Amino acid sequence: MAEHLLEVDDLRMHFHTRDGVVKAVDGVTYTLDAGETLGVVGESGSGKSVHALTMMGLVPMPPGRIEGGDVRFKGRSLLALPDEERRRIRGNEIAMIFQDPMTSLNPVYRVGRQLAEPLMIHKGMSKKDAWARAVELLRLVGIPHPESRVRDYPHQFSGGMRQRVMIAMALACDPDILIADEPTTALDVTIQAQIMELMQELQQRTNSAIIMITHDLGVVADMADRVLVMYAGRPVEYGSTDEVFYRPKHPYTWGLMDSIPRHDVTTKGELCPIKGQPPSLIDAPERCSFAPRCPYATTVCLESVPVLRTVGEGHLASCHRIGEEGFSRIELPCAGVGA
Amino acid sequence: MLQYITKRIVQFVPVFFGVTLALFLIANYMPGADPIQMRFGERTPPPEIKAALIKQYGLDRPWYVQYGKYLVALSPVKSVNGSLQWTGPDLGTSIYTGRPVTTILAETYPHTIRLALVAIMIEIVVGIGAGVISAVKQYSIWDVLVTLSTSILVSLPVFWLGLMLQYFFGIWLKGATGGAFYLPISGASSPFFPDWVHMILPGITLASVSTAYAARIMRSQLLEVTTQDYIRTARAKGLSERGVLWRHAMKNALIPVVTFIGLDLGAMFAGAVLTETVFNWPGVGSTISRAIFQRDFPIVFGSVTAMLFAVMIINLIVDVSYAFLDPRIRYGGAGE
Amino acid sequence: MAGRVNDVDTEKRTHEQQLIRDGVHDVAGQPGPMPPLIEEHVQHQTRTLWGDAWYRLRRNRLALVALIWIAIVALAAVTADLWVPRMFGDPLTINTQTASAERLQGPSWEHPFGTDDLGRDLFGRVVYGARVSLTVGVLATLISVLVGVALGAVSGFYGKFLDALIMRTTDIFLAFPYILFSILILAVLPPEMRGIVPVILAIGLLGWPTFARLFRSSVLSVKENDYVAAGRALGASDARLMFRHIAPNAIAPIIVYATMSIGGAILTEAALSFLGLGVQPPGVSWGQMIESSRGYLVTQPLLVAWPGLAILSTVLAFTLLGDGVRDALDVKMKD
Repeated sequence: MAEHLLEVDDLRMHFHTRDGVVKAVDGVTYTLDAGETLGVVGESGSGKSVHALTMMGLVPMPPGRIEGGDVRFKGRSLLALPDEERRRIRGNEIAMIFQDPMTSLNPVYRVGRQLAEPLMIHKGMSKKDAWARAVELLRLVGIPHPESRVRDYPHQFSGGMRQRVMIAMALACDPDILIADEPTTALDVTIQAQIMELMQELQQRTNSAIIMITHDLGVVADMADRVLVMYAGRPVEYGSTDEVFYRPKHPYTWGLMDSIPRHDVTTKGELCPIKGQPPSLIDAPERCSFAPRCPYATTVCLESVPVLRTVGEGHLASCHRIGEEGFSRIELPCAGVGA
Repeated sequence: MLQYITKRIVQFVPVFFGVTLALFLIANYMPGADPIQMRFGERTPPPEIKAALIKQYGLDRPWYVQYGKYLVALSPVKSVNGSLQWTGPDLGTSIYTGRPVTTILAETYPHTIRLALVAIMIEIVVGIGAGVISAVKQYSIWDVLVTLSTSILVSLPVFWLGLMLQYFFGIWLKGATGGAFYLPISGASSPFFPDWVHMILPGITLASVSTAYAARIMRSQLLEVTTQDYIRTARAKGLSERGVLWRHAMKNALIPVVTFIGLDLGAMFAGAVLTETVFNWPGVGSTISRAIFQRDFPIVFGSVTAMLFAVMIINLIVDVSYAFLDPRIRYGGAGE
Repeated sequence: MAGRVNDVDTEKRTHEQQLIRDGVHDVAGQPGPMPPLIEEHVQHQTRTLWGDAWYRLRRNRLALVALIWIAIVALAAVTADLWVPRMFGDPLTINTQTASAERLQGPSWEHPFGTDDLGRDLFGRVVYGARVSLTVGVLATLISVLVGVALGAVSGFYGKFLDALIMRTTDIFLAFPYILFSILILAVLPPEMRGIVPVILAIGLLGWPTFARLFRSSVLSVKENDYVAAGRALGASDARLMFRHIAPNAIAPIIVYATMSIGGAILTEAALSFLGLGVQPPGVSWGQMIESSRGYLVTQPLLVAWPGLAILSTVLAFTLLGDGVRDALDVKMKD
């Protein structure tokens, strides 16, 4: 089999807290190739952000502990690398942008300095060259008057502009992989679209792979080539965007689909939020973690943790009931509308 | 920024009038306060002289006239024979020596400032250092040690710490080493030691409480800052842990600490009264405590007034320089 | 091997039918749309805020030790008249017959801390000194709390001009170390008027601004809460709102800061007494004991050490207790 750019293999990150073990990430597996976009979807607490931070080596350990699995980048195991070498990959070959641009930039330094920093660390650029490149980067992400803006402080930028700065910073060293952790959640809707467009445009130019972490299925439908749906630290469905959107197999994915307003469907479908709360991950029992909220749950769901099974072309899902006769998506009476 | 500085200076005005009014009221209207008696110390003036003095000082005039006269006396620039001249503020004269309080202050103030500078140096080096170690090695034995010792230091009476240091380093150590090694316990210069050695114990004593607070603030600021999103960004950029600490966390954490140290100068003046008394340091503080025992009220009043003014001016300077430290204020638009 | 998967829109049965067919009803035991399959743990909140705080305080060993120490010091101080003179002789008066023979003794069974320069029992004097220190600490703080809470309430509740006036006044107070003002105020007093009462008043009346600010900000934040708005809508009077709704919620930071400021007041009293502005002989206070025995630092350092240790341990206890109470009540102190 050809080597992938990134191979995540049964990755497990558990937090050992005073109250018990939190299995924040519990068996995530996928691959990523250059120029590809993977959408990682889930509610808050589903482990989608933690899995990215684990790959970046940004999870404080302790309390975090890698309990198994591996992340291979260009064939090398990231988790086995010494700190110094991982640091050389961070921000250089794999870069990350975060949710809140208002707090993600250091308020006491000029944006130019913050943009120049990765260039000076990873590319050994002189301060002067790095600042010149910083101006170019600001221009690239569409900030007007980059020559003067480079000397401004973060608080002098708007939220959308700050996220552009963050993107510029992440792209400074031409990374192979860009991880975007809910990059638009904190922004206005109109700005959200602009930022997404910018990312797609830049991806075409640089051919970098993107891991787009989001709870917004619309974003994934627009951008991603493949989708990973996570629930309570585990992958519940994985496949190409077309497969997952048109032939979803997991009740949780069905629920997610029902809970978003769709403009492409003409029937006046009801908006159905998934009832209940995501489970506590502390000392989770050995059962399907979605069972308590699942309208399709049966006794079999309580007996063991379901494993991912192939349900279509490159399409995996983890539900005990898949393959059962007569198990299919049904129109549910939507009791909880208006939430 | 100009707006910020203007705002600070405008805010300074009520503080100035508030303090001078408080001083004026304490000296003239406090229960037990008798402006004439104070000028006589322990002696009792004959009634007719007292009456004459009341007239002479205008103590029978309404309070606002007296307050106005008090402000004029404080002003360093006065109208002499119709033209404005620099005369220096008038803080009265000592009952015992008859010397102007301003002259006494001019002699003693440099000593107090010298001691305060030493103390601030200790505060910066030890306080910030201990705070950084404590935060970086959180929950380690060093952290426990710093937390415990700062708790003890802020619970110590400063003058008692001074006395205990005198005993251990000046008396006990001298005995234990057969007189070979010890530190001077008096601030007055002596032929046995170079001048800076005399500053060690008083400096440590004066610095103690402030250093403890500086360490605590440094620790909590650094811990607070390291949870911020921009620190995660710095790590994600590939900075080393040292780079993250010194290049990203430190500047953010230091801004409030530096502000604290600046504003703390005022507390140091108060501490100087006790420290200088214990070590016979020839500064304003020991002058005040001596004057309290001698009931030389003009010296007490004039010296404390001078200290309060120094505090006021330092606060203003620190407030304004804060604007230069924090770009969010320097370049406006931050809202606060 | 792919499992057999049905298409989404093949069957349109009701949810009820689906549940029965899937046997969920057997698990849940009763029919109805989407019965909970598994009962999640429901924690029953029976403890009150104060009960909870007390529970957490008891688990903080350092704070508990501090509390016990304060209790011991307070008990010793209150009952001093009953046992100190009988066990160690009257520590407040000078026995002219034995004074010269018994002066400056080291610790012994008879005099656990030794004796002072006038032959009086040092342990007894330290116990009597605790009376002054605790009285000043508690009463001065009480005055600060009462004045501060009253002005903070007025400031937070009525806002506008009164708020501005009170807050500017606190600015002035907080800009200066208040010991400088208390030195002035007490220095003005003729010696015969000096003593414990002026010290309490000076410390108490200079210490209120922080309480006013704390209470004001609590009032402001609580005022925004829905239940206060609801109370207003129901026509509750200002005073009623203040006492029924706002005060209980705003009181936690006050308790925390008050605990710590008792220690601060004890330190200030000691400093003022050391400068000769506090309790005058023959009264006894820790600060004054240190002042009067400074001259014996070379010959009998214990004379200075004991009262200082008493101050240190008591103030430290209040500091640690304050920390414990803060953690127990989960108060974030910013001022």
